[in-house]
Amino acid sequence: MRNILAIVQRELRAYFVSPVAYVVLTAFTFISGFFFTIILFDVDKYARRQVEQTARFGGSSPVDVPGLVLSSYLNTLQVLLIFVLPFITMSLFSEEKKRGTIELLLTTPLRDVETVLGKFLSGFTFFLIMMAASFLPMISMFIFSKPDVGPFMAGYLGIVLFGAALISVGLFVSTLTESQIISAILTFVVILFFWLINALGSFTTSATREVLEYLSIVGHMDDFIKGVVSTPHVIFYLTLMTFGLFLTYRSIESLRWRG
Amino acid sequence: MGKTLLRAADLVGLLLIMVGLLIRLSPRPGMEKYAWVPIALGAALVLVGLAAKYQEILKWLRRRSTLLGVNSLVSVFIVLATLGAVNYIGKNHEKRFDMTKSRLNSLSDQSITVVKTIDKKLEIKAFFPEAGYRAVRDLLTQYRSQNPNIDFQLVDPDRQPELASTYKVTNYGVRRDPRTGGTVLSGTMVLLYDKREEKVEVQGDPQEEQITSALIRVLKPTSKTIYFLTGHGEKSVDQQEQRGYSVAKSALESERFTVKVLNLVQEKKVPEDCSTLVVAGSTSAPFGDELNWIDEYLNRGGGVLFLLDSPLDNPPGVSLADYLKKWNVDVGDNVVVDLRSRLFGGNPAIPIVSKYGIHKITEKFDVMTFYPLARSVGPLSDKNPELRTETLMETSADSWATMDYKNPQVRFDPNRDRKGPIPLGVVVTKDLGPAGSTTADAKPRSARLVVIGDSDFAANGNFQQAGNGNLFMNSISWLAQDESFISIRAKSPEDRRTSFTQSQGLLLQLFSMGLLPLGILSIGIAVWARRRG
Repeated sequence: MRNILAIVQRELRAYFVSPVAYVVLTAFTFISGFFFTIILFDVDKYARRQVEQTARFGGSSPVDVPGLVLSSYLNTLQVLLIFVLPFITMSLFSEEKKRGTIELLLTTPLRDVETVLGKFLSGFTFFLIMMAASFLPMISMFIFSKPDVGPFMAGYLGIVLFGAALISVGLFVSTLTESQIISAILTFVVILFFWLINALGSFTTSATREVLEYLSIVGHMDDFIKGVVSTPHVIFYLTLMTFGLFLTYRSIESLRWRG
Repeated sequence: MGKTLLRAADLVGLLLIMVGLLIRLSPRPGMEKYAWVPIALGAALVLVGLAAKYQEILKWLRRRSTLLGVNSLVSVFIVLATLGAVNYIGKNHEKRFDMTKSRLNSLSDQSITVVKTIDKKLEIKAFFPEAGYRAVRDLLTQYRSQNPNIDFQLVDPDRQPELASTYKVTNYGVRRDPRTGGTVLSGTMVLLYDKREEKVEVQGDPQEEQITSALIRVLKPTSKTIYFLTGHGEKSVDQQEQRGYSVAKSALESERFTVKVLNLVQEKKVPEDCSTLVVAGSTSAPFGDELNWIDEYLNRGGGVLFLLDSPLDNPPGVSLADYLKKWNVDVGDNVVVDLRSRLFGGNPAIPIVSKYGIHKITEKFDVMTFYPLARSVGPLSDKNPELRTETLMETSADSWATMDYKNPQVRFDPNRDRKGPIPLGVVVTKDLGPAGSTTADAKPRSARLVVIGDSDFAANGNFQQAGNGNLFMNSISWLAQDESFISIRAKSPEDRRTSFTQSQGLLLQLFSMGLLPLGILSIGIAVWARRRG
């Protein structure tokens, strides 16, 4: 455990010393902030229109402004993460391979499991910092309104699981190549594939279609965004993360005998 | 050359196998049988290619790295299979936690209570166009997560027409809503339980209420009995002509009601198994005793539907006005004229109703109903505190009730006629207190009446038009105290608004797009500067 934390510390220090981390964080925060304000003003406009209509025609049409803002914002974050996460994971192992320090890593007393978990947790921690930064504008919902807290918790739980799963996939891809660029592009392609996989379903029988729909990473977020924590979706992301980590471990281990 | 070809045979073989698999997966019916040809050919070519390289393969297999690689691959497959199994089990034993305060995405307590009573396999086949799958699946998954005995299957009737015709599914498809311009999906759900079948036709997204009502009906081992009074020229449930009630009878039977006729003069009392008594368009008055027997039935918790034709009908309808006075119902000796009918191409003697009272029968009614030759039926001012009388429906302000109905002139006369809106139906309820101590459940009982000033609206020629059939069925269900007739209000989100001024909004924008990212950037610059310095 101590070894893992040591790796995390080292990696994070390396991240925050290099300009890449700040560029990624700044860009992500700016873009998510931009979308947040657009979404907020849009939903607010819609809510005001509903008030006018109710005043004019009677009836009632309740609008949950924070809820609507949250669901649109989380959907946007999902898409942003698909583009940004490859940049977080690309350096985790590719950099070591390029610099030649991977051999050093393999000869230390550290076990492969500790190395993999350490690298994963450092990427995951950076991701959590990103999520925290993206959450800051959302605090305004608690200042200017009385939101239902449940969907916030469910939604962010979902996005954290989503991120963890994608980071593990990116981590594995980064063990396959020395080039960070190739690592980032490959990771993006793999994630895109799992994003759009359900589109293949329209050409197949219903049993296969169900499987393909199940494998789609965005399909599992819908319930979280609606405020529902449903066990199959939690299991999906956790098992995807586990599989990604296992593949990473096998890939690292194979470096020893691949020569 | 030949040797090169042989060595490439395994690659060609793999390609052929892939083609075969693609053919196998094709949704076009009948294609699967062509798939085996390329698969078999491909497999043979793969063997040929491998055989041509067998020496190299043996050498490669003996390498340590190959053995370790195979070991790795095997372990990956084992882990993948295990994780796949975990997902499969998880999917079939779903637990949902709805974190919203108003439990928007969960079933209501009523539905959960019903669902938990299902102790045998219940299957729901949902016949919807594929575009509608999402909403249907979301809702049905909520039911399944409450009870693993429930399973469902989504079927596109266009892709599986044989299955659709087995269950006689005709209601499904996509159409445009002329009011909003959006698309409206429709479909049919078939519930199968213990050799019983229940069908639900759905317009738009399926509602929880429809599914739970259907569940209640399919779970019921016994059905309720509806009696139609005879002997006074009432409409006959066996008559299939325009004025008959055979369509109403079929509709009732399809909702698993049993329909029987009752001759009160012979029976001398309303049977114990009667859930609702229907008096449909009597043309000669019942004897005094019959009305007493009906009262007796009402006072032991029965429900009666009186459909009273106008004095202009042929033969004229009986008003039962004196009898119904003591139930706080005012039956008019008049005929209702409605000019609004002309807007819909109808006769002014066929009043139209689009305004309904606030009652369970018409709670979500947004369709019109029409009544060929009707008399007014409204509440008497409440004399009897035991009785609750409510207007069920009334015509528009462009109508009136005239006592001079023999005069063919259609013109409102303020001296003679009563200006609209005119009530055409009432609902009367009398609380009776709990059932006697002999029964295990002390459910509170009530006497229920629905009185409508026309019987032709539910006759064969009119039953399936506009909302007529629905009104009839809803009235019967309510009178029969049929619990499958429940209304689960569609859940709506709570009203939560934001209150920020324009300047506050601008500040927010400044923070999200400016201060925050710039702050992060400045930290980065500071760190970089420190490193350099």
